[in-house]
Amino acid sequence: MQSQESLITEKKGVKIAKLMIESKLQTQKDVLWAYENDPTIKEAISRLKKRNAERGTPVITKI
Amino acid sequence: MQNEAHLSLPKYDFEFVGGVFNAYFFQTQHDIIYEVTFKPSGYIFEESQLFQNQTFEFSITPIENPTNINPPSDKRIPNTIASIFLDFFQQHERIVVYLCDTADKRASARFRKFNQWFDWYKGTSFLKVDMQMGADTYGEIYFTSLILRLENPDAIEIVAMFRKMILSNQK
Repeated sequence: MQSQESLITEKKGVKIAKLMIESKLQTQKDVLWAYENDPTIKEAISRLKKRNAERGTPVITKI
Repeated sequence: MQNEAHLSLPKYDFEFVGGVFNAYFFQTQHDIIYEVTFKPSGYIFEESQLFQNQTFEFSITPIENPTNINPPSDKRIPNTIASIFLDFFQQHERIVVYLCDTADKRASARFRKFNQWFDWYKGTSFLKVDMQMGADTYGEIYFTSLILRLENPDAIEIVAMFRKMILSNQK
């Protein structure tokens, strides 16, 4: 099996593409809503910022 | 994502929150906060319960940007996303679908960038199938990619089903 395969179709798949676009836009809305309203998200971002501040940089070299 | 070279490159620390969208967060040197999500997307493989449960849409959204300008190019972001992908795939067998945003007519450029990024990071462990769909009545062309582990035992069936699904959804 090839590690990458490209398949080209024209004028096909538009319906599913639009469903996927709608889903992606909804995700972005949901993400921004959660950022404003979900305490779990706020806590996670606070933890991340605190860790970065303590390190003095958000950059790391290992996972 | 399996290219070992990227593991030693500078990247941003990230926080996994999980939840329905399998959310990850990272902060850049410009204090921009990004959220990376892998949203369950079973509708893409509606004929297969197994694949429905393995399928996720990848998305990245800047959720906090104190600079008030468009986020600048940042070489550490691709390294960070590669690490997040790797983390996500380590948890379970996954199928990730990526669709380029068409909102500002730059989908083609995004797709090229995504492909460059993927080719650099994929190593020998990941398979990507690209589909270019359209154009619709407005001339819009949609670019989407399916990503899975090369060693996924169902890889051939998944790719065939994805292709069939795309071809069966004609306008």
